[in-house]
Amino acid sequence: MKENISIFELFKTQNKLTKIIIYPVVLVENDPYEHSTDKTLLNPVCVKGLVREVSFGKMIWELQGLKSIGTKEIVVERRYENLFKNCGKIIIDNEEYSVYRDAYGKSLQIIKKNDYLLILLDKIND
Amino acid sequence: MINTLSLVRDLIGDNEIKGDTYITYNGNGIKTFTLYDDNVAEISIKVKKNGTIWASSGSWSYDEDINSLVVFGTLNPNDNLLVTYTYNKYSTTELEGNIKNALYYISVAQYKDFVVCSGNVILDGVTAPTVAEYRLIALITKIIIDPDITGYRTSEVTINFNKSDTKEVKIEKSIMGFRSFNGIIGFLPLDTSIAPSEE
Repeated sequence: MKENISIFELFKTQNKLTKIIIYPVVLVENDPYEHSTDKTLLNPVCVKGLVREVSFGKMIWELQGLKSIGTKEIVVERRYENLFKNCGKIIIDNEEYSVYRDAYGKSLQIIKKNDYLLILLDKIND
Repeated sequence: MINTLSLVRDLIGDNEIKGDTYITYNGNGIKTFTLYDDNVAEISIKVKKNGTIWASSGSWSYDEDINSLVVFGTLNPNDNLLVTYTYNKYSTTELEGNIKNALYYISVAQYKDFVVCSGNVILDGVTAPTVAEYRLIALITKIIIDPDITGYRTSEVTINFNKSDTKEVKIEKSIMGFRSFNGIIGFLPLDTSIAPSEE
């Protein structure tokens, strides 16, 4: 029987995964009527993942609603799901990407695949 | 005394890798910063604050349990910290666990019963292992970590593995390769009877 080779594990063993810097966030409600919140970014943590560019055709025809330029597809271990859902800032290669709580399920999608998460991130333009 | 851990690290190619963590303090009052790489060698950590080397005495320390730099000194918002260090792919705990697995396989194969004493020293109860036995332990640990190994060749032993060999078969072959027997090889005249005596 052929063994399944996990590309993620292969990259991990060879130390070739990309560093994804994630800033967890603390939200404090400052007005109980307006429900406005103050956002404080905590110190960053680093998650190593497989980062790929999403092709232009895939973004236009398969993933409608995403920006056609600058979207990245990342593969990370499943244990980081809550971290990605509750973070306030994501940095990959010194570029900032949209976070789950601001994306309203549109520009950041989390797809669960076995032990891994496949996450689509939209680049935030400066 | 041979350091089994460093022997295993040499065999699996787990050399020290240079790493760094770049931090900009945002003034949130939390002065604990997680390093971007795991298994950091504490002794290798150097910190630069705004481009100047920052000595550790009283200013910062490294907490191994949470893999973080804890800063005690003064930090102002937008201060930059550059932390440089070396790290390994596998942690000491991981490797020690794999070495214990290797000792289990060696014991099951009825080669010898080794035990781990005071962390790193491996004894079979009374005597220390020979250099060859240390190498056997390191080889089996490597097979456990990386079962895709295709062979092992040194001046003292040559072991070839087939592609279809399972991890267990490779371990068995390795132990067989390292087995040695004590005896004397000599020549007997052709007319000598070699039948066992009836006594």
